[in-house]
This record gives sequence, C-alpha cells and structure tokens, in this order.
Amino acid sequence: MREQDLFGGLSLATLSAQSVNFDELLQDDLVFKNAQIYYSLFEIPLAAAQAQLPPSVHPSIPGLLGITFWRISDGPLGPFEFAMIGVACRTGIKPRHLIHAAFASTPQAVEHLRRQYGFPCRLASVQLRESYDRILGSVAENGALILQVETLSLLPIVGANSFIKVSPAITAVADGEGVPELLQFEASYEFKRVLRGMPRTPVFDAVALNRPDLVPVFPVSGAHAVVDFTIHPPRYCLPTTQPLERAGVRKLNGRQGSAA
Amino acid sequence: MQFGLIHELSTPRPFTSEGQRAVYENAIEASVVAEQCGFASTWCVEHHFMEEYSHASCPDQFLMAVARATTRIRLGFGIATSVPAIHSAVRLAEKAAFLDVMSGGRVEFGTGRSSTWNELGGFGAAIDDTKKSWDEYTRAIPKMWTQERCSFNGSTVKLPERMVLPKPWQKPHPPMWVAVTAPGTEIDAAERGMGALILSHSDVTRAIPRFNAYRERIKTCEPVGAFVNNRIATVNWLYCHKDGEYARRRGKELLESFSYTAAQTVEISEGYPSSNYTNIGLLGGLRADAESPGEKKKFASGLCFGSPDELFENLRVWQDAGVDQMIFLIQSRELLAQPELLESLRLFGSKVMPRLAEYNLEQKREAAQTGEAA
Repeated sequence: MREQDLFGGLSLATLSAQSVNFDELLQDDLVFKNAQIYYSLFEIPLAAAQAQLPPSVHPSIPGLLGITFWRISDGPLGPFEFAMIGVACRTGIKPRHLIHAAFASTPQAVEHLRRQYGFPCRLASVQLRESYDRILGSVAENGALILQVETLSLLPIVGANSFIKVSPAITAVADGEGVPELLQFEASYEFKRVLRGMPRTPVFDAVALNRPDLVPVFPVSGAHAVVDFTIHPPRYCLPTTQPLERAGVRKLNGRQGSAA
Repeated sequence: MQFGLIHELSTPRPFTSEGQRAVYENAIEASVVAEQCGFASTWCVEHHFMEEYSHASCPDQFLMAVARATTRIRLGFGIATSVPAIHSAVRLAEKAAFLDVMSGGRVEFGTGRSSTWNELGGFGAAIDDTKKSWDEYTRAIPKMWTQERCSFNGSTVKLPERMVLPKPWQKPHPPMWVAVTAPGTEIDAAERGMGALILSHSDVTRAIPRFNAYRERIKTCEPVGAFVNNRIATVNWLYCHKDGEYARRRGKELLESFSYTAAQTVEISEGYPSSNYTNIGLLGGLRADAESPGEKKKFASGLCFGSPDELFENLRVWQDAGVDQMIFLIQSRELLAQPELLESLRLFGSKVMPRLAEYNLEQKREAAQTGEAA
C-alpha cells in the first residue's frame, strides 16, 4: 500500500447517517428458489465513486454504480421485491458494492434485511417486471417514482457462460460506539436463464436514493436472470476510517457479532 | 529453455512526464542488460486506460526503441490486440512488419483480444465479437505479410486487394503466438499452429495437463500462418538475490503492488455477461481467491523469487515440464530501484542460466544414451 493509492473520501458523518444497527447475527443461509435478479451497471466519474466510499476501500477503475432488483416469489420471508443501489469498490481482491440505498416491498423483508444484513432498507413499492420487449425495475416511495431502470433488446447468454458475476454487497452498520463498520457477506447462485442488454434509467431521483451527487453516466450492461440463490450469513466486519490493508478485519463470531 | 522479459510499463502515481519517461527508459535499459545476460526475448504488453498497472499503449514504439539499443534480443508483441475498435488488422500487420525490418528480423507476434471493460468499453468494442475478430486477424495478417497483394473478405476484416507494406524481414513471416489465460485457449493456439503464450501464473503441476493438451492437438493443426510455431512460453515473476529470504520478501512486495493495480480494473466477466468471456483474464486471475478481505494472498508456488540455487531448482521443473521459454515480469510501479532490478537480472544470467543450460545438455546426453542402449 502506498500513500498515493486511491481510496474513498466519504465522510464518517454521511456513512453514519445511513448505518443500520446490527445486533443479530444470522446463523443460517437465506435461500430463494426460482427468483429473478436484474443487475445493471453504469459508469460514474471516478471522483464521484471516491466521494461515495469510505477511506478504507479502493474504488474500481472506472467508477461503477450498480442497481440490483430481486423478485422473490417464495422463501423464508414470503413473497417480496427488493432493490439496492451501490458503488463498486475493492475491499481487497473481490469487487463489491457498498450499498447506499435499499428498498423492499414488505415490512417483514425490510426488517430482516436491515437487522441481519445491514441493508439501509426502506419500505417502498418495488417492482421487477419482464415484458415481451424489456426488463423493467422500479421503486416508488410515498407514491412518487424515484427509480426506474429498463433494458431492452435482450440477448440470451447460453452455455457455460450463462451466468452473471454479481458483485457481493457490503453494508454500513453501527457498532454501538458511533463508528460505523462495513458488513461483508457472500452469496452463491445457480443460474437457470440469463439475458443481457444495455440498460437505461428513465427515472433516477438521486436525492431520494440518498446520494444527491450520484448520477449514472454511461451504461455498461443490464442482465436479468432466473436463479436459485443463497445469501450466506455475514462473516466479517471491515473498518471504515483506516485502509483495510492496515487495519485488518473483524471476524464475526456467534450471535452477538463479537470479535474473534 | 530460453528466457525473456515482459514489460507492463507499470507507472506509479503521481503521474508526471518525467516519471513516465523514466519508466520507459528503465525498461529499455533492462532489455539491454537482459540481452547482455543471454536472455532471448523482451516482450511488451498492450494495455489502454490501465492506471498504474500498465502504461504500455504503444508496444511497437517501445520495441522499436529496444531494437535500436540492441542487436540480438527478440522483440515480442505481448499481445497485439486483435479487436477492430482498437486496431485494424492492416495496421497490426504493418506495425509488426515495420519493426521486423528495422530490427533485422527479430519480431515475435503475439495476438489476443483483451479481457477488461476498461479497454473494450473504452474503445466501444463489440465485446461479443472479439473472439471472431481475433480469429480472422490471425488468418488475415499472415496473408498480408506473405502475399504480394492481398485481399480478405471476412466479417471484421475487409480488405480489397492491396499491397500491405512493408513485408517482414523474416521469411515467411514472424512467429505467431496466442495469449492464453482461460483454460482451453491453449487448444485455440494449437488448432491454429500458433505458439501458446501462457499468461496465467500457475504452479507447474496444474500447468502440465495444459501443456500436454497443446502438444497433442498441435500435431494435427491447420496453421493459420505459413508454418507451425510449436512452442510454449509461460509468464512468471523474477527477482533473484543471493539471500533467498530477501528475494521472497521483495517478491511479495512486487506481487502485492501488482495485485493492487490489477484489482481495481473491471474484468469483462464482472461487468458484461457474454458468451465469449467465461473466465476472468490475466488481471483478474492474478487476484488471490480470498474469501475474506484480510486473508493472506495465496500465490502460485512456481514463482521465481529466490536465490540462484532455489531458482535453478524451480526452473528445472518448469523445463522438464516442457516450457520452451519462461518470460519474466520484473517490475511493478518502479518498486525496485533500477540498480537492484539490473543486479537481479545479472545474477540470474550469471548463476542460473548457465546451470540450466548445462542441465539441459545433460538431459539430452542421457536421453541420447538411453536411446542408443535401447
């Protein structure tokens, strides 16, 4: 690590404001069968990406904004739909997305995803729909449409390459002492069908999405999948104020998330 | 087994004109010293928009500078990106032939198609078509070199009859290679009678099945060029020091620096689901497979960081496995001071290469005796 290396520049106050109290550590996987995922990526200016990441992590180059929708028809939380918006970062090796806004369509999903995964989740009308010519994801909050993402002219991705390499989410959580940490968890996927096209955002209310300065600039890809997927329990807490390489990580252990 | 260098022209922040020039000049000097030490080749990658990781956007110009400072060392395109949005096939044929003439026939022509969103997205390339364009380039370029006038009507290469000039110095043309990262690409190389430039670092036991598959398939190849280039080159790291522990410590620093710069790029498979990019490429492949962010990186076992004795033992295994040329990365973000880097090359050239050459002769003598006895 060198002093000149690129790090995030998000203020602790901003990160704290979105941090979620995290007091229950999940022990079991969360499994969703025959779900739908819509994962779209957009380039954003590198400076904008750095401004949305804490000083402990590196931005990806180029800066990337990821918008992900889930449509869950069955599972432990019942049917619900979910959307999250994050900025790509490197917490070491793997690319991940720091989530700065999330929405779920049922109170049960909101509660579970907040308390056990640290998603800054709010109740909203979330919809992921597949029509004859497009994939459309939308979020409406208090009757106002705040996010709409769509991808047209989708092509099937077939054979051994029929997968989406979804970057895992990390979330900001409060540690009880006012200093937020980042919660890291993994997910695994069994893809059944993958479509890909070029996305666009007819509606992107940056203020409602918690980051007034963040606007998607250049589309990378929009991919839709039918998938069985599993979210594994959080295992690590990452620092926010010091470079990860220097500060190390905290391994979660037991129901209280105590340090190992 | 022969040895070569491969230059990423990795450049540390803050970026300055003077610092950039120093990176280029140091790499040229390393190539000159490598030639003096008996290295067979010096290669230059081609990358675009890769901050810090590689500022080697014009490898033909770098290799030309090396050509004018050397007399014998071969000059490798590692690789020429065979994607229409980045280069036309004609321009690649011209650049390679031009360098071949100016260097008196020293070009090795590596081909590939890039694997990052940084590059392919940056040029607006048709990502789903890169394998198709690469395939056409490898078939069209040898025709441009060997036919007085050439025409080609493909889906990505469209050339009405023209005389592509100059023609290469080497006859019939420079040896052709394919960059091999994803498993299976060595078969693509073999099918076309091209050398396999294996860029993914690996331990030798994992590499041997790929070498064997290549050697088997190339026996029945249909060469895209005028001859079969049945050779395997493998990229590795090199830092040689009389104190093996010190060498490994410095090597670890090099790898960490390299991994840091590589980790920030966006691989195609991470951002753009596509039928022709199954695996992450060299950069992504070099990222350690860490479940946790703090987990220590796991690096391949066959890397050449050590004392001369240790490197001899390591490379003997690679040589026995059938590697024709070992090509070394030697620098990342100018981490090694230039005198230290040159000393490593000189130590390797004086203490390791002669022993490996002698070992190779012994192996051949033993094989000959065994053959006579049989």
